[in-house]
Amino acid sequence: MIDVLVVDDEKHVRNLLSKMISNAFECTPREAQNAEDALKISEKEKFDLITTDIKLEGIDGIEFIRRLRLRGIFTPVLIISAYATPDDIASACRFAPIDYLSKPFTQDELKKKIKGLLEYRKGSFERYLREAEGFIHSNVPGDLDKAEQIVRIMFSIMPSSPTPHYLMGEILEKRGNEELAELHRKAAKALDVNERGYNRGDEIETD
Amino acid sequence: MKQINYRLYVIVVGCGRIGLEVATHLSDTGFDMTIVEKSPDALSALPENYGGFTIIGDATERDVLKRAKAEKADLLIATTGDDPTNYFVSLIGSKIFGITNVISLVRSKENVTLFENSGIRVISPINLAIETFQRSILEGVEPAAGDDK
Repeated sequence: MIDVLVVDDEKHVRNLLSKMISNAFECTPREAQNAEDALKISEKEKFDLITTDIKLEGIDGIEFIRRLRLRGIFTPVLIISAYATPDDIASACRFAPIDYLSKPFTQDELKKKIKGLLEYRKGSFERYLREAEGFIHSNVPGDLDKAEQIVRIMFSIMPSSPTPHYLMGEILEKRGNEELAELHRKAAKALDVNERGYNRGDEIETD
Repeated sequence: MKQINYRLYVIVVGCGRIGLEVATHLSDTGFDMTIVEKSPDALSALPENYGGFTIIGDATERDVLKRAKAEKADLLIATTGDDPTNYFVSLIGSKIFGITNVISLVRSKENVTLFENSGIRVISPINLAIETFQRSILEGVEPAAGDDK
């Protein structure tokens, strides 16, 4: 089960993508027909994946991704387009995690791309996790702030994971803010359906 | 609609009454679909539940079929109202893009052999109508004829 936002100005394509994604991942994707609506939705709701066309009315797909990243949303984006130029792809690559699928495509191709992006997300989440752990447990002044920045990115990559909350709890505890630390630990436990808890160096669970 | 558990990639050329119905039906069944049609107006007639791609362009141009990724197609169905167009599209599909299954609508009875000799499977509305009439008449005359499959 994953949360997906589908952005495309053509109703047929939105229908098709929603149908293909719901068949493959047993979910009901949210849809937006332009980047403005998509930005509003993605500020309120968290997604595991966003698909977008490049040619959109108003703000185009590349600008949409740039604005997402500027808002601190690092959700993987799958660009789905018939007319992407190498320049388009190059400018989109700056906003990783990104992948590209050209229209028309089959359900299997779409499924493979989405799985790839979700795997990448897990990989980058783990890299951030190790980095954050390093900063939390170092005693260099300023490292706790660096850890906090990384944990904020982790929140946006995997919004439903308990791990960033556990880490935030540790950071706040170290700063002596026990009250807020406890809130994060509670949030972590609420999200931690399998009650795995968190220990330094743990492997993260897959979705 | 019964869903199938294998997926073929099908390109339908022409979004007239027949092309539209065929494409919608096949997409409902679960095939990966693309319709290629010259006129944007014709595509607006597609029902909302059509689950496939659309490409606006002349399918007799090689680039248009390339945009539809014809090299990956398992089946090409030519349904325009014009036999020469259907013939040309079918030939480009099979000879240039190597599509092994090509089915074409053939309006004029005289053209059926030409298509068949080129390895194209034919759907001829006239022949279908004649056969159906014959069958229904024969069924009435001699019920035990044994040729109604």
